[in-house]
Amino acid sequence: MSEARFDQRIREHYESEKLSAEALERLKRTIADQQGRAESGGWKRGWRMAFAAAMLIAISGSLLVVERTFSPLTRAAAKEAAREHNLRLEVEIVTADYAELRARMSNVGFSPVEPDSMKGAGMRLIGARYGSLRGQPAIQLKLADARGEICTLIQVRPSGALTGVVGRRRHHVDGLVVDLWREKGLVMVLTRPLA
Amino acid sequence: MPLSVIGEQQPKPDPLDELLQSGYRYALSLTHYRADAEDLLQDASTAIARAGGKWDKAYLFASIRNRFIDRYRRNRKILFIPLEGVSEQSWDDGWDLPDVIQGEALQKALARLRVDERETLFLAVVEGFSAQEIATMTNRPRGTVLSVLHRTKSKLRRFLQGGGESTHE
Repeated sequence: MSEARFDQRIREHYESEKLSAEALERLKRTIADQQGRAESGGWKRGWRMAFAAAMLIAISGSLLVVERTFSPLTRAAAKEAAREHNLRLEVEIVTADYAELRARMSNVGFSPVEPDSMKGAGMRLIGARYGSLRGQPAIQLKLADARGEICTLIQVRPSGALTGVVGRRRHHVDGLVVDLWREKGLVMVLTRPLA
Repeated sequence: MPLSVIGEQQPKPDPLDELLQSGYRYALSLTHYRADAEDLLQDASTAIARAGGKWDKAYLFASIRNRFIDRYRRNRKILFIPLEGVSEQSWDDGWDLPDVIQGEALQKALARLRVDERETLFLAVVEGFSAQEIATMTNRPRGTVLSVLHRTKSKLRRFLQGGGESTHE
């Protein structure tokens, strides 16, 4: 058998594997249902949306300038954070206690903090390691969310390319959600799987 | 005037159906079990729907892959072994296999491959992605992808010829 024929046989094997019509329909219904839920909230709050849209238009001029300037920077940081998340590197310090992390991780000129915006979100600290983001020394915290999904929170000083992180930004990278924001004098970059 | 006979046109397949079927096969290449593949696809596609994500192959495959890694990491199973940690074995270049390979034999041989080998084989041979594209999708150097692909085909051929080798899964 030639290699080409061998490849063809592998193709035939996989192409013979199909979701049954029933499973496919069930999946499409689930997808439509999820999309419908995501959209229905918006219809119910129609007037609020209209108001929000008006406000958005009012401030979009100034934001556009900021967006055009900083979006590529935050996207690059988000991509790097997603890559780091996917590397799944082991933590250097295993702890569920932020105070212990602060005591043991002080080699980057700042101490890791628990972001207020994540308190009450059911995120459990697993540990941390040193790392970098956009060339800046950083601390990578590993967290488990309420569903047990592993998330990576990078904390770094807002210097160099990261000065551009203002407000809260969200990027989707390779099936991951990456949020960037500033808090307690640091840039926070949280990478997690889609909910 | 006689009417010309026009052949009935096949209904155009739904692009979402085709995408989901591709996603299912990719999930199957990772899990090797139909039920697990279906679960994985469902998780990934409903997550995309909730997030209003893009419905394209690259996005769906990435979502499937990330979920697969998360799920199996949690179960502490060995997933992807770096190439450096695997002894290279080479076989002669003859393709002395029977003209007909039975589905069951192929299924069993595929089950003996490691996940990264099966995934690389699927992406290259079935989906037709280039080595560079696979390297980007799987965060590995292009040379590693080419090496894994070559080794996987040799290994699979050996399995089909009745040869043995310990599996890593």
